[in-house]
Amino acid sequence: MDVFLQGPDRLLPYLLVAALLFSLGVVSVASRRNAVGYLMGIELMLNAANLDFVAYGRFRGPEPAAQSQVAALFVIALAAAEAAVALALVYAVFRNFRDVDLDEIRTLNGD
Amino acid sequence: MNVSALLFWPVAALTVSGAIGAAFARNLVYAALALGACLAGVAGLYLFLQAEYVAVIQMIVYVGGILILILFGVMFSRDVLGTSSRPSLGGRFLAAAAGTAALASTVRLALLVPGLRGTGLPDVRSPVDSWIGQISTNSPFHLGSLLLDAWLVPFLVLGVLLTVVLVAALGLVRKDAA
Amino acid sequence: MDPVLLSLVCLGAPLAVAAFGAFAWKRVPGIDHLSIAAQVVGTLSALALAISVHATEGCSIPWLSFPGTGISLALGVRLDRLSIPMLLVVQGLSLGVLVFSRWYLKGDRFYGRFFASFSFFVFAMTGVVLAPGLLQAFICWELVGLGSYLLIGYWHDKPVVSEDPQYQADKPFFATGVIESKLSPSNAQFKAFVVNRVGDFGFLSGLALIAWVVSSWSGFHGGDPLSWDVLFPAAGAGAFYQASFLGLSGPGLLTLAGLLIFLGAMGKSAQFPFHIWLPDAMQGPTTASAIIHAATMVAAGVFLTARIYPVLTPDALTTIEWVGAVTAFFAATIACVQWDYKAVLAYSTVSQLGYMMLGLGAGAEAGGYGAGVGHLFTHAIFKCMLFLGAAAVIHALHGVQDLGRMGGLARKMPLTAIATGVGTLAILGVPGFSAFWSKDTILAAAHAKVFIAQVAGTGEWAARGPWLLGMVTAALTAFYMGRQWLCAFAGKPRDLHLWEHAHDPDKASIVVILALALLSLQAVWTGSLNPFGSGSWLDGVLRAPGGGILGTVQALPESVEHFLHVGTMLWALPLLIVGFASAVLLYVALPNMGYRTADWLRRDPPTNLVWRFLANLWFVDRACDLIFAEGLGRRGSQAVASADLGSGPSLDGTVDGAAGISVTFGRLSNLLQSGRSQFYAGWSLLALFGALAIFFLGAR
Repeated sequence: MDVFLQGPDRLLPYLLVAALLFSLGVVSVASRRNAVGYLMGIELMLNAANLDFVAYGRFRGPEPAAQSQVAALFVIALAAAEAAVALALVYAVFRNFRDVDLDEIRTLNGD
Repeated sequence: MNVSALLFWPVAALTVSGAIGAAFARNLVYAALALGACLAGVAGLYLFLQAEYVAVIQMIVYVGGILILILFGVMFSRDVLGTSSRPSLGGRFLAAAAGTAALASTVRLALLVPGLRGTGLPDVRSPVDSWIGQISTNSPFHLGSLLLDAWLVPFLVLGVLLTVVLVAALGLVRKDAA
Repeated sequence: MDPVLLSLVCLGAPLAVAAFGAFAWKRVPGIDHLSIAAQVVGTLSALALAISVHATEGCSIPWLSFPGTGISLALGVRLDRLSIPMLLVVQGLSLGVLVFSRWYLKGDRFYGRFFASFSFFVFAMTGVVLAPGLLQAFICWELVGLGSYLLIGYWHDKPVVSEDPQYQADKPFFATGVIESKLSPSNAQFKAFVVNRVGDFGFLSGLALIAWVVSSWSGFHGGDPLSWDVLFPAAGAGAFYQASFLGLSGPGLLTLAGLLIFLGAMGKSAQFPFHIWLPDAMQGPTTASAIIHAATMVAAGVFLTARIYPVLTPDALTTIEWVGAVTAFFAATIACVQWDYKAVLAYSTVSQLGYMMLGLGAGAEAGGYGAGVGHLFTHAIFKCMLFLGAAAVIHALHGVQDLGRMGGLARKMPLTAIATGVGTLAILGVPGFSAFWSKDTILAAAHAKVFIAQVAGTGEWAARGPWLLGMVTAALTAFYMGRQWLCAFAGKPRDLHLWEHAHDPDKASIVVILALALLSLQAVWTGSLNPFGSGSWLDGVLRAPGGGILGTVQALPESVEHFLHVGTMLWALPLLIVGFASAVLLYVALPNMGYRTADWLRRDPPTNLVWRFLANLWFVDRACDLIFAEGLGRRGSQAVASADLGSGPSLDGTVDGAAGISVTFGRLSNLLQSGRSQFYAGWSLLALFGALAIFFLGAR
């Protein structure tokens, strides 16, 4: 009950949320057939990490908090860049294979 | 008990349920929208963490930019109107196993935080015991000066990176000479 | 400049070219220029070394250490009065041959590979020459074998000569003893390597024996027991008396060690009966033969024997002398009936190598060391030139090597004729030419050994044999070499069509041949214009090395030496004239009589038997083929293949099984490469977080 009432003032809830987000991202990446769905999983994982960054920093002091926020900003920017390139790739793949089903696009296999 | 405590759990729940939707929704548009909800929830969590600037940026870039891109991407797939087929049985087991492992390790790490004893990692001061005050109210100003001070090199490199990404994305989508 | 650095340059430059050429010969043109550049550098370095080094220098780098025994085998370089002249000969001749090869092999389909292999060969030979001890000598010895393998088998896609229409069309009329169904460049390269290997077995055994004896000697204080610096003093101080092997000790053990190493030299220097690879090696390009079989590789055996001179007992030396004498005689007899231009040169090489061993075996007091080493150098030069002349002739006649179709080429190829003429006069031992000085010194040394044996009262008849054989061989040499030159260049052309198109090689090649001809004059070697004087500016090089079991060498008194030299000359010159005159008579002056004589010799017994014996190469090749190739080789492998080992595991089954296991593992691993991103991501994330979970779950 105490934890429940003090939610935003304790580190643990944020970490648990981030943990859940991350594992859901892993599940997406390991199971989604659609390329875009796959990318959504990656975004989930990145957000979880970002959340962790900011949360840890917040509970250490003002200076660590600021540093961690800057780090989070960088991660957001990088995620944006990565999403742009990834979607450009999806588009190029779609043009070549007429399909974005990852189970069908496996010419780079061992045979 | 205060308002923030009361609002916190719904926001957290929104975030998690959005994530669940993004991971498991059959219809990709629903999945994308769920992802949007999740991202918004994360922005809210940033607000609770007194990282207002980051929260705003999160909304602008993630929800307003990346999510739109993802929606465009979803339009290219065949499953816009229909439902996507289920992954194979082996794939689902793999996903479950990987997800469980990820969950286990991250939760365990989270629970370890007071001390991190026995892992060989340096002992982190328990944050709950230390400082929980307000952060500086001039946070954007502070962040900006940090960007130009300690984080200058990453900042410049990021600029170069974004340029490269722009060119790369354009290069990937242009038509090859016939 | 630091001498050691210069010698490393001599080693490193060809190696670098060879390494580069090994990968790039097909894609990058100009390997020939690189090889020649490396050789120029090497020759200049060798020249600098020859001028500047006046005392023994060297460096040794410990390589293999056996802790606890104090043995630390080393590699390095050793520059002394034997290795520097040899280095100069090797580098300089290689340069000349490379320049010539550019003309000879122009347009060949494997052009670049020749130069890369050649550079590798030069590197290996330099390694042997500069070796500070037996270990490096052995390692580079094997590499030399590899280099010659590469060069002999240059045209590896040529079929056996029984199926080669060009060969069948061009081959000489009379049987030459070649086993046609088995002669091809690839078989020849294999044969060379295998025969060498047999000798190397002896070399390695001797090496092991010496290492054991020297390292177990009480006076051994660590270091490399195989290096010259340690071995010779140890032998001199009686190391071989402390050890005992197979009941031998002292002199017997020393003789055994020396002869084992000499076995290796026999293989490389084509001494009887290990000569069989050399005539087959003519399957390679003639310019390769010029360097390998005339000047350097076969000389490596002689070089090694000269190197280990301080540990050769009188018994060993006598054995060496006999082996050399028999080889010289045997090869000379065969050369008399050969009609293939290159075959004559091949057997001539074998014969001259026999001479060198004869010289070395005569012993230090008889002046044998200087004789053998001197002939090594002079022979290298004139034989190389003779082979290059052969290359010029063969190239001019579009591949025809049959003496029976040559004749009168002197008019069409004057410069080549002059150069080869000089070489022929040299090998004959005509005064004024280099080999007169060196070959007669050998015969004089052999004679001196007889004299010494007479004085000592023992071993006189053992010493007479080689001397007699040497003399007879001199006459035979005059005959067959004269015959070769006369058949090719003098008289009337026997095939007008071929003769019409003959011409001298291009300018660079002519320069090389003429330069070598110049070096075949006696004046270059003795430093004086008097062919009958004694002494030479090379005397310092040719003095026998002291140390080892030789102690200080007591040379014969001046008057005795002079007497012996004159005596030898008085015998040798008439023999020479008789031999050469016969050749002139039979082939130039009275060719019809020559043909009738030859027919009569070939047709009627008993000379017909002699002729058949010689033409079939004394049946040595056939015997080896029968015993080893057919007997052990083919029957042996058939026996192994068809052996029914019951229900037990068989060799084939084991190999197949091993292959099967690899294939199965491959297929299993293949499943990991499914090409699906979710698969990859899922498994890698599972692996990562699974490990982390276990790690963190174990934490408190």
